[in-house]
Parts: sequence; C-alpha cells; structure tokens
Amino acid sequence: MTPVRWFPRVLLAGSLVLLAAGAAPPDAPATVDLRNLLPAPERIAGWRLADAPRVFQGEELFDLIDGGAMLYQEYGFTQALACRYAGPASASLQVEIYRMSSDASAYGIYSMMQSAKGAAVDIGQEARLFDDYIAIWKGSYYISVTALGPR
Amino acid sequence: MRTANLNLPFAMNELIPRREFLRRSACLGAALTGAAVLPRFAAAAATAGAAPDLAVVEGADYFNNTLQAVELLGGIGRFVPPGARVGLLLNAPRWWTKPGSFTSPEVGLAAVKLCADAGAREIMLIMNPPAGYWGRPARAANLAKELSLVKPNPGQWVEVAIAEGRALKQAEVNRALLDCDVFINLPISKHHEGTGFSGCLKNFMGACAGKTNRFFHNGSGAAGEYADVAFLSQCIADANLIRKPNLCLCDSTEFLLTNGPAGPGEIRKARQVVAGADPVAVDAYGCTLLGLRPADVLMITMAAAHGLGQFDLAKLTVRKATI
Repeated sequence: MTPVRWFPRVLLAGSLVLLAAGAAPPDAPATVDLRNLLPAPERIAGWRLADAPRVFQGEELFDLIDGGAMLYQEYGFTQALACRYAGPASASLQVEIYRMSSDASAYGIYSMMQSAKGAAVDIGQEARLFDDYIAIWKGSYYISVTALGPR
Repeated sequence: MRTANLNLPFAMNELIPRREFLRRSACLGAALTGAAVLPRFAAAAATAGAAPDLAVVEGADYFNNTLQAVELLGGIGRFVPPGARVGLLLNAPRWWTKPGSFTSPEVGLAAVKLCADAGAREIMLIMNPPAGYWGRPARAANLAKELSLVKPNPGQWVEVAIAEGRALKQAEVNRALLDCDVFINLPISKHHEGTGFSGCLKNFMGACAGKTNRFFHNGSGAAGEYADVAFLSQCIADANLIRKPNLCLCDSTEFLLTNGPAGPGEIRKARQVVAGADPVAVDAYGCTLLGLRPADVLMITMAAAHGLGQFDLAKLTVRKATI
C-alpha cells in the first residue's frame, strides 16, 4: 500500500461522510439512523459499499474494536456505524461513525485519537489528516475514515 | 529460569486426566502429546546453546524476513519435528481491521510454509482470522499445498487451573492451545491503550475465552476496564504460565504507535520480524521499537518474575540481518 496515493480518497470519503452527517438534526442526535449519514452513492463516484453497514450499541462495540472499545465507553459512547467501501485498484476504506452522548464527549474521543503529526483539515468543527486516516469531529459525532489498502 | 525451546508442562488442567498429565509432564518437561517427537526435541535442547536468543530480520519482504529470522535461530527443525501438530496463535481476529493492528498475513504465511517444510502433520489455528486473510498476499496462490494443512479452530474450550498464578488462578483456554505439539505465537508488536504495549504476552489473551479476559479487566473490582493495569498485567503474566510458546514470530513490520489496540493511529514501519523462543525476550525487544523500556512494561517484568524469560536485553544474544 502506498498511503500517499490514498490521501485524496480518504479526504474525499471523509468529507462526504461529514457532509451527510451535517444534515443530521443537531438537537436530536439519538433519533437519526446512522445509516442515513452515509453519503449517497452518486456523491462518491468510483466507490461502493463493500458490505452492509453495521450498527453497534453498548457492549456490541467490543465486536467492532474489542479492547479499543473501552476508551469510547469511558467517553460516553452511544452508537456506532461501521462499513467498508471498495474503490479503484482494490483500494478499501473503512468508515466508522461514532455517536457520543454529547458534543463534549465526541470532542473528547476525537482529541484522544490525535497526535502532533496530523495535519489540520477544514472539515466539520475540527479534523486532522494522518498518513492513512482522517479523524473528524462535528457536534456529537466522531468519524474516522481509514485506508485499508488493497484487499 | 530459561528453558530454551522446551515448554513447561500443561498447568493443572482439570479436564486432562491426572495420569495423562503426568505422562506428558514426564516427557522432558515439555508439553508434548506424542512420544514420536521426543528425540527431535531432545536434539533441539542440546543445540540450543549455539543459537541466539533473538533473531531480527529487517527488509521490505515480510515473508522472507520471517523465513530468514527462523533460519538465524537455527532453522525450523529446532522447533517443529516431523509429524507435529502445530498450533498458531495469530493476532488477527476479525475486529482488527486497521493498518498496524494485526499480524501481517505475509508473516502468517511464512509460518505456515515453515511448518509445512518441517513436515508438520497439521496446523491448528488457535484463533481464526477473518475470511480471506490467507489469500491477501499474492504469493498465497503458490502455497495452496501448505495452506491445506491449516485447520480452522472449532471453538472448543477447556478450564485450566494455574497453580502459580498470582492474580489469575483459573482460566478457560482454547483446546487447540493444549492439544498441539508445538505452539507458535504470532503477535504483532503495537501500542495498547491499557498495557502500553501488545506483543507475545498480551497475545496470549487470544487463546483465552471471553469470560477469562473479562476477569483480567474487572476481576480486581476496578471500575474501568483499564483502571487496574497492574492487575491486568499480572493476569496476562499468569496466563502465560499455562503454556510457553515453542517459538515466537513477532510482526514488527508495520505497527500502531498510537491509538492501539484498534487504531487508526500513527504507524511505524520498522519492517522487522523478531523471532525467539522466549516471549519475554521477544516482547522486551519489540517494545523498544515503540520507544518503551522493557522494565517499564508491567506484564513483561511480571512474566519475567514468573521465570518465563529474560527482559534484560544486555543479557540476550541478538542476531540481526537486513535483506
């Protein structure tokens, strides 16, 4: 995998996910089906859902990220959606949308996933781009889009 | 206490009849299930002194790094006798999907090839990787015969008592861990939010049932899952008493420096494979690749206190190569 090659794809997917997330009613985050936050297929030409999006609640988060779930729960995890997009040249992106209990808890988990090496990107309220993933915070949502490389 | 490539016998496994346990224990103290493989292990013990404690191979081809690392240790014949049933413990469950969070299939494939070349009868997975895992590297197409030896794990569990455990006195472990003649641990070295580091010792949790692993986290009454890292680390060290690996092949090629164990996070591409029979030594070396000192990683020092290995790198013979 050559991560640099995927930067624009990651950015594109991250942007589109966030655009969709931006449509969610900010005052009723718990009522929006997370699947509705994914970008419409026509907005991400060249990419398609490789498998059906899965939604995780409570302890189910361990099925998604096992020991990684503990941190999210401490910060007020409510619900998550995970799915994989397949793109050109067998490229693959994993999209995860986390709904947290408040804006503050979403920012909290977003901040925990940072390091100084990320480059600031103008998406949502705050976003940073790393070698092979982008982390985005907006309202009560934390989103990550990760390049998985060819599969 | 160091035991070269010989395992401690099984812990006091309640489901293994005492007579059978004693029979196994009598075999040079190794966890062997068949007398036919004994001569090979005896020979291995005799030559162990000439081999380094650790072999580290760096290069762009992770499959070949793995093969070469084992060669530097004296060859796979030191560890896998013909006809053996080998148990592989990969850190590649379905939930580790992000870069740097799971054992590279290139490293796993190399282990399969090594076992097949040594004449292994069967390769038992102690934890199943996700569908398609083995086929990801292009070279898998040329290893169909070797891969035919790989048997998926059926998910059978056994209760085991750990007499010398300090925090963990009993565990439920995968039966394949106990049934195999040769146990090969195939972790990835990576950051871990709770223990700071994940490698051979931490990967042993992959051989344990969920209820046992939950005890690691909350058995002390800790409020949060990582609220009592000392207890968690002690449980990991204790669990490793159940069965010491015959060989560890640690993937230190591309791994999480931050946000482990799940990621996504910063990746370091050290492009190294670390091989050795001593899981403490392999972890001691592996944690330095993340900028950690072995003496600062609790599970490493606690496992050493159990006599499971040596974490003082100055006392270890490390043979390195770049290809």
